[in-house]
Amino acid sequence: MALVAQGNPEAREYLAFRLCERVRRIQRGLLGNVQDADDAAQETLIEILRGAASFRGDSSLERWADRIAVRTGLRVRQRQRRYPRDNDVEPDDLATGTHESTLDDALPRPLLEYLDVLPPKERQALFLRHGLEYSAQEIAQTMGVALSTTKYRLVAALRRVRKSIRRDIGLGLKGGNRDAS
Amino acid sequence: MHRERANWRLWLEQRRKVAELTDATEARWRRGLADYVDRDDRGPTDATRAIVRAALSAAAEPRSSTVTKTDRGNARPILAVAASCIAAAGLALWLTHPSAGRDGEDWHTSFIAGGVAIDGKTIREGDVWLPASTLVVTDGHACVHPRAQAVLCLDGGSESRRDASSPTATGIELIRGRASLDWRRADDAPIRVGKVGIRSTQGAASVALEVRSDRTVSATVIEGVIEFTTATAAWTATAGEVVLLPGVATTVGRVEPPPSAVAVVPPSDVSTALSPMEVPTEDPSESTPPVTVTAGELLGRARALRHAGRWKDAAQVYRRLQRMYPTSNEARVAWVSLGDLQLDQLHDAQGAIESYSRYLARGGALEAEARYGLVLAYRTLGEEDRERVELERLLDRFPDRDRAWRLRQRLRDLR
Repeated sequence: MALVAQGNPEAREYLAFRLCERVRRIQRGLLGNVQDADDAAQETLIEILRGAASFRGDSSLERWADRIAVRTGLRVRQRQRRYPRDNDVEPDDLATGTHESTLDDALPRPLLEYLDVLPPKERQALFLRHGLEYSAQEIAQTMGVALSTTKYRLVAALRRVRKSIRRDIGLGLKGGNRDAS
Repeated sequence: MHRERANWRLWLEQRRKVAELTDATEARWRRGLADYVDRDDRGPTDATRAIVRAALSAAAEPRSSTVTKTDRGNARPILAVAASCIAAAGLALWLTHPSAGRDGEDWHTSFIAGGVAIDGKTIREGDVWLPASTLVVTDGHACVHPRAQAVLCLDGGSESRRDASSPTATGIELIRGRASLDWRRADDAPIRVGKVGIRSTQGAASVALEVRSDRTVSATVIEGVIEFTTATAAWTATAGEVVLLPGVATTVGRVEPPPSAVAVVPPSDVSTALSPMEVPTEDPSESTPPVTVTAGELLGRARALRHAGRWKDAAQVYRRLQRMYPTSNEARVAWVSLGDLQLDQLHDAQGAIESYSRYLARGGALEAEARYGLVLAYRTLGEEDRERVELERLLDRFPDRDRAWRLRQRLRDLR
């Protein structure tokens, strides 16, 4: 990180490549829209590269990057709120091919599609809770809302996800059978 | 009674099974989500590489500069739909660009694609083009802001030298190749090309410049009203007219004698000179074709502007392409690209509907994209009946479209 802070090109490139996929996944989870997620990922990487000098090593590099990614993602979402966009036609290289199929083949639908049914704030809360393993307190602080609000959002979000799962099961959808929809 | 009880038991049993399955699936989903961020089962994709490249480049620039958005190798290269925030970022790029409002001082490059060098040194976006130095674009594209409301874009194979007369001089010598000058609005002060001042007099305007074999520069007015001025005269030209500017330096440091005249040649009749101050420097009938920018070049330029986040400029170039080459394939494709731009970046859903409809009037390979664009445009306008009709048409024509299930879900909601 010291080399990155000094502007060493190889170190910067190594760091950017090391964190880029992770940051993209976080943004994809938080924002849903692929294009927005990639824009936010780019902004996050810029912040990481510029803020390398502030990395003190108190936590792992990934956790430090996660925090910056979350902050940036929420900021981008705030900015985007006025012009929500559909995600249907965007190619998502994070959710296709072997990458997606290895872990959640057992699910009726791709993993992130269950997040797509949620309103943005519930989505963010649920992703922070289960994707990044934030506590409810941390989520409340990060999103700038009361703890009770956060808990309510988590419960409501999970209820919606369960409803989607139940409906898929009722429709007879099982892992590897998604196209039947 | 016995039968009712049996049915009740069966119902309870089914309910219990569904609940168990739901619990198990939800647990799997949670585990999947927890693993999702840490997945590392492949190398970087093209999109990742593009993001990293752009981030490395932007991070190296001063904090004041705006992030340049990238082409991330989408599966829809023509129809790449960027986030709305890019529109804001593009606007910010324009408004907060270091050169904005500081006419004649540092000319920062705002968009670079391909090999671009100043005095032999390869440059990146944001680098400054100083007076008396020479900018060479070997391939690709480079744009600079000589004035706050104007942008000068140099095409591949071009070479240009900044005016050396003073640190604040707003002028270039186009030594070889092609360039374009675009104004967002009328400008009081001209930008000099060689010894001729060029400025927009009425709003947005555009002029294409090309160095000809005889070392003169042809200036084709693409859009708007352009005023050309020399030390002794001034002349105005409108879209379609070609102005021959006097010779410029062919090598660095060598400047041709001051111009004696400017010839204005309308494209419809190149043998007729219109300017009252003209003394043609050559037989216009032997000149190169009056319109020097091809449809492909215009399409490429529009794409480059989109990648740079300059949505309005890109839309202008698409429209210019459609005006200049209305029957070309490029112009047809441009309707869909323009529609996407209007819908996603310019927030002009009505305009997008018109653009998509123009494309669909003749159909083509992008029909699915155009129809989907129509659906989105009507959804944006809140016209649910029209949206439903277009959704039905889309699903009727392309039933196996990617994520068609979601469209069907939307259709059910609308019904």
